[in-house]
Amino acid sequence: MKFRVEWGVVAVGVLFASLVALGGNGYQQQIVFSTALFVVLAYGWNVISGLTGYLSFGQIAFFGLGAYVAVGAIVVLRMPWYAAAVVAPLAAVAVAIPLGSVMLRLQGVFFTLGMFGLGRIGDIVASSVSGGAMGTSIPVVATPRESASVMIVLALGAIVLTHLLINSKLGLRFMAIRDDEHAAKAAGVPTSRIKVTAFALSAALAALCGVMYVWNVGYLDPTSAFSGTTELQVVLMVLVGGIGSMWGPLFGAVLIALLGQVLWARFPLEEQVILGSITVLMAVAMPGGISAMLQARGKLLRRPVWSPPPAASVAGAPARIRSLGDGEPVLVCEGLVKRFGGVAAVDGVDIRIARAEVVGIIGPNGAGKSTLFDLITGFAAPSGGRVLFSNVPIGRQPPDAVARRGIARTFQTSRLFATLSVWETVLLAASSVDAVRGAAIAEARRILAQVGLLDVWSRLPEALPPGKQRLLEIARALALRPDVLLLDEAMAGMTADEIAQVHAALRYAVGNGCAVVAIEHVLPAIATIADRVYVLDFGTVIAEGPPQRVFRDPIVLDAYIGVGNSVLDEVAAGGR
Amino acid sequence: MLVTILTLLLTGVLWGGVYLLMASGLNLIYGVMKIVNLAHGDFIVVGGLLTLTLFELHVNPLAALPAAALVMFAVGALVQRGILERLVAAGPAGELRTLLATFGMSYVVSNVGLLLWGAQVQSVPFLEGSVDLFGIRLPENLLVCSAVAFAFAVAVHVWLTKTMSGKAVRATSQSAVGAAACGLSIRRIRVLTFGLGCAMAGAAGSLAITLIPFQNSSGGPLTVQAFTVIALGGLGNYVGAFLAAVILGVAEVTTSFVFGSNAAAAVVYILFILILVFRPQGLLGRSARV
Repeated sequence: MKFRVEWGVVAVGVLFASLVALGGNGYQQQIVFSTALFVVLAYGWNVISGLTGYLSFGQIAFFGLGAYVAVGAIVVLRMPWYAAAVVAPLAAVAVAIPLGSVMLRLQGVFFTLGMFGLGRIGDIVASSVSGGAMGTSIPVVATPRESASVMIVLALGAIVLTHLLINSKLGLRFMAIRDDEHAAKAAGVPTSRIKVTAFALSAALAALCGVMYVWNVGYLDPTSAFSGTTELQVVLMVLVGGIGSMWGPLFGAVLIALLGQVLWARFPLEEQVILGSITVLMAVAMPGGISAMLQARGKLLRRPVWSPPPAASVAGAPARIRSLGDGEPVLVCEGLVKRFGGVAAVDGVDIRIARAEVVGIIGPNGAGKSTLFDLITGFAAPSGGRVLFSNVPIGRQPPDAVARRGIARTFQTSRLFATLSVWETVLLAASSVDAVRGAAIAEARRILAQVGLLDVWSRLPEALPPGKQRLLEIARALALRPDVLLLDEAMAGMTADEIAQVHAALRYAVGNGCAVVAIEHVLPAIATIADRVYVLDFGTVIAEGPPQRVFRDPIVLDAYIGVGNSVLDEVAAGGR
Repeated sequence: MLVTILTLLLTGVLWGGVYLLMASGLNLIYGVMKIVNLAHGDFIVVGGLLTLTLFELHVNPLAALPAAALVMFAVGALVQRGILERLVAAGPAGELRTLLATFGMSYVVSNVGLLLWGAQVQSVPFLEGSVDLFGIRLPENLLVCSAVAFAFAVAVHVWLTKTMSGKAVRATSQSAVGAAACGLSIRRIRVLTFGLGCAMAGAAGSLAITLIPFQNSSGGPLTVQAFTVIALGGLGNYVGAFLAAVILGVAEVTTSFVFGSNAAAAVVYILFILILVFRPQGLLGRSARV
């Protein structure tokens, strides 16, 4: 592996800290200990709040939990400290999994507030359950040299763990959820499970810090176990360094821990006012922190996960083959209904799609086309009727499960991941259905080459022209190797060349048995490739059949009056 | 037995008035700007501590209330103007940054409180007698505070629904773009709203410090309590908040009577989490309007 400056800096830092830990005086050793402790806390907080985007002001509760479990393990069960350091994080994970499963159903502000409240519950519970507000002493205390040395190792561990995470499939999934949870689901990411994983990991790191804290000072009271100052400092550290970045928590932790030492010594009363003011200032003026500043200058840029794509084309994975007889429908909607209040957006829609069929769905604005897609893909629950996929009712499966089973979709307005490269976007979907790393990489590469995005694999979506962004969304859907591909106005805003590329990619998928259902406003874009067309109006199917016939249907013409008959005539006359 | 139950119920309803005022400011700000101000509880505490200072200068708490409200209005308007207004344009990322900013601000406010008033628990003695209503004994200060709090909250509600400037605020809450298209200065409305929300926090603090002792760090739990009321009532929903405040008041007073005050504090949190998880749209359905 190529030598990188940042790891050199880490090595020098660890060396220096170790020298102080081994040879410095007690005060210096305590500074090393608390700085290293904050490094771990900051990286732990960054996993849920930074990488996964669920801002938590209550992670300190897991620090307190870890500390109290450690006291129990050491005092009551007579465990050595290192056993407590294993037990406490496990206890935190055991709490975090059920708690996270509930709390992470909350979005945005609500999750943040919920965790804010939980952090304060911890204090109340601890005060009333254990030795009360007075605190507890424990008999086993580390020497400053021991605790500082162990803490340095743990801090290095947290750095390496984050590095591995950011370059893994799991880390990629965290970041996808942060950027756009809906789109992550559409890419087949089991978001509920992945969020809980991030939460539990974050909790375990915080709990580990709680154990180390207790072992270091040999005393614990509720106020320091659930300290608001610690919480504020951790949040500020990650914010200053760069939230959600690889090196931000390290920068911030070292900087703010040392600043905290100075403030604590010089301005003990004003410390929180100063730290709080810096938090406000950072949030307003410099939300990306130091990392964003460096990245704007091209430094410390994140390397895309599992990159670069292999140079030579590898044979793609075969499409799924299902045992369906000829003409056997792969997707069926039976009497599908969706009501919003008194309005039925979809009102008893029956649709049958056969394997390898290309079907268009057209209709005026508000006809219920996009809602129909939401119902099929599990993003909305039907008020009535059902969806059958390969003759099996889909039921109320979450959208990510539907995506993995073989119904892929795009969105009417592009939903791409702001911080994921073109390569990672497609890889994310490919790796949802291919557990084997090599197979997922090969498939992602094949699709990028096919839609003509391979040369821009390292770009972020915002650096692509609109047509290419739509192309990327189609590529992401194709990477799920679907049996049914639902395209929601996917070709709007594309150049003729891009449309030709999409057609080629679709033909390949159809050749492998995939059915394509396309909502289109650009009628020619679909008429040329569609076998059949459904026309929707006011939530019901008003016409169905081959495009040439449907576009001459007087009912359809009536529905489209105002859009312009000439367009339809042109289509009916045989495309462009 | 009946007397005990009636006493608990009435006391709970009276506390509901104070909770309503505590929550109304947060509700107003959320309704208009979709901001949850994590420093709200700290503004309540500062309002209370201002009242304490005035009380030490021999000013009656009820006379101190407008002063505390006015000071907090100025603080709130400045905060919106100087800090939060800069985050409005940030779009979806703005929500996260606003939370971070108000989180930092809550520490600034509570620790400015520490510098000015110290860390000791303080209260303001006010009308310490009690009234006997057919055998139901109710503290005088609670009766007065509750009446003032209800009056204040209702006055703001009337202002929002009946006056032109109030309607401008509601229009902004329903569609900022639409309000701007009608020629309203939505910037000024946001400053006015945040200022008013903080003024209500200040007023609530003035009343609350005569009922419960405060210290500079009491803000966090008060924020959670205020948020519980508006979450229970449905964010931005005024009638819901009124019901929720009364429910919370009765629940807390009853729990405190049966299980002690520690359990009462826990009840707020338990309600808070349950509501967030199982009924995030609040008691009265999904409509979120001021």
